[in-house]
Amino acid sequence: MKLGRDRLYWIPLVILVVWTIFPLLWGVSSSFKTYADIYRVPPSIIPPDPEIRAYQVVLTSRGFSTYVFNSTFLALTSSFIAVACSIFAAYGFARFKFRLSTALFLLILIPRIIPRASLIIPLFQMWASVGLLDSYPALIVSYTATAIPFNTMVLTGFFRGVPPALEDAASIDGATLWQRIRYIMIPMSIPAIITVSVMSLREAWNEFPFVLALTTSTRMRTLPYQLFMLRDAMGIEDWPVVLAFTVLTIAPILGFYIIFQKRVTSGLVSGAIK
Amino acid sequence: MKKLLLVFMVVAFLLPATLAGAQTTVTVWFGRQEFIPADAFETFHAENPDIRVEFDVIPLEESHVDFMRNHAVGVAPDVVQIFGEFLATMVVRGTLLDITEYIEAWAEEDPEDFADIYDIAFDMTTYEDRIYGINVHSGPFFMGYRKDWLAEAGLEEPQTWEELLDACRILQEEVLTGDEYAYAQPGGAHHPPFWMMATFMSMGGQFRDTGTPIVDSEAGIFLIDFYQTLANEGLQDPEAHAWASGDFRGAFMGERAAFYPEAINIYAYTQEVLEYATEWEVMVQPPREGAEDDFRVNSFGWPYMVNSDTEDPEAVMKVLRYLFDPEICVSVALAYQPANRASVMTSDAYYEAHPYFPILEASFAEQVTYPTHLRSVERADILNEMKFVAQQVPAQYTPEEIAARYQELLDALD
Repeated sequence: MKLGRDRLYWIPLVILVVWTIFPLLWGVSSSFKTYADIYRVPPSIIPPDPEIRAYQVVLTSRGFSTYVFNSTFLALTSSFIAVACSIFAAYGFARFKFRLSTALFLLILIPRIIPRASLIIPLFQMWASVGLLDSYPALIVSYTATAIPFNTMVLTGFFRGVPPALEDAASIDGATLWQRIRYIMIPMSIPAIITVSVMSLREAWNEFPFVLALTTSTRMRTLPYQLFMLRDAMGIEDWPVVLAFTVLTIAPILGFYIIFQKRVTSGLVSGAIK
Repeated sequence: MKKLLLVFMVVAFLLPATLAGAQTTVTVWFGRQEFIPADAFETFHAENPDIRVEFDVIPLEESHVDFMRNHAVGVAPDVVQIFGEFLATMVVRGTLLDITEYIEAWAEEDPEDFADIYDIAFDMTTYEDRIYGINVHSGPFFMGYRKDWLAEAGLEEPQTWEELLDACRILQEEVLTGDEYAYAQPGGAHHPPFWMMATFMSMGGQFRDTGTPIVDSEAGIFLIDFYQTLANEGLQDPEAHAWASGDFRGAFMGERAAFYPEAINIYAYTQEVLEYATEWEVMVQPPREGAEDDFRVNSFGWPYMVNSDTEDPEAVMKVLRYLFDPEICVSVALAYQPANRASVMTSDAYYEAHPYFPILEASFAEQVTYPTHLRSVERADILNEMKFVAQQVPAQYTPEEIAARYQELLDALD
């Protein structure tokens, strides 16, 4: 059978999908295996004796609800603040020409370029000096500050694509600046706002270096930190439990991402081409 | 009446604050949840109402870094549990308290109790003759092996590394099939080189005063040659160089390996899947032929170190002595890692939980610490890379060449 030329494009796509999906499937499958089955040779993708023990262990483990709450609270709070701040910043960059605006726009992207690890020590000292180590404010502000640059960049591109005439007409009708943002820019930029919200949420949910460095108590830990805690070279690693924890950690954000996937894609593309 | 009421109100207002002020808080970072005493300090609080212990778990892989960072801003805990190898760095940075005088006072005050403690409890926390903490638990690596497979091949328990290597060859040739291999060990990428250094020390490997291993010695070259042989003669799984600890433990427990160098706490799991004394057995890692006098049983531990800024060293010492109390540390020893106390390790309860321990008992009491080093992480990276190169198939360099190359890198750290 002759393979059409356009079908050739499918080959790398299929490889990419398998490359991405297979480890995920393997992880889900292994979370239902027994401890012994994990090390069985040859390995099998389908658990020989599937069991839900690992999920029971995770769900009943001490502190799991705290980690879920912390991850959820930090992700929602920091995402909301980051998106709110980004809307105003992006509007300013999109609509106002002021001195050094281009330089400022580039400057705002710098935190995005600097490796997160190099921010840890200065941030740690800063939070220590104000006595906020091991607290929600330290994490919320740190997460928010790292989310704002990307959000601002995407939203600025999108806002620039909204015809200024709409705002001019509203101004003539007496709309204030806030009203123009509230009733024109935000409704017209919903795809972009959803995009940056999902990206912020995902980033905050998965964040690890800051929570590792800025917290020292169990009550402040998030799901990624606890996942790190499950790795143990000194004892027998219960891989089904580690993988069950991983599945439960990524499931909410994965579901969220799948629901909003189309809007996220369109939001990113719109911001890029308008 | 009004005056009396006023006095009562003032007392009622001030009393709790006064009482709270009289209570000392000692904060402890444990390296693993399993090290926390079973009673979560309940007995301690009952016996010491003036001291409140607050504790949390900071993984050992992070604890020394987190501690030093928090120490720099004055918010580090009073006690931190670390990997013993980081002692030098923490002392030199001035983060640890010299508790030598408290330990000497303890020895004087209760010599009977002190005699119950193995030397390693303080050897591992001593730097330049000063003591900075207590090593309550440690886990030297011994060797688990398949007794039934050796018997099938007509072999006895090997007494030297040379005999062990010969046994591996015979097992691989005559008994093992398919995915079964004679020797299992972790690769170097995932962990510090604990397993490698345990073997190195049993082979008679020595260290410089700085804690740098002398790998271009006879013992070091023998070790590299041993790894080259395992890899190049197919005596270990071809993927073993990439294995993490779980993989090689899984290989032995999954009946795919005949020998595995491991610690006592893992044997507890092994006996759940393999029948002890009939299917598998333990032994002390053997010496190298001709180097019997240099043989040592290594010790890796997780000592509790004391913060140099601690406000109440006496209270901290009470907490440390509580953690080392036989009645307290026995619960951790039975469920997790051995304790450095003779009364715990030779108790009926411990023998029952770990029936193989009598074989290891004498060696356990003679543990020698894996030396600390000021640049411990870099030392680990170099040693792991050396092991990786030693396991190349086919071998690219002679053991002497590898030893010379990595000795140079190690010496550059000093």
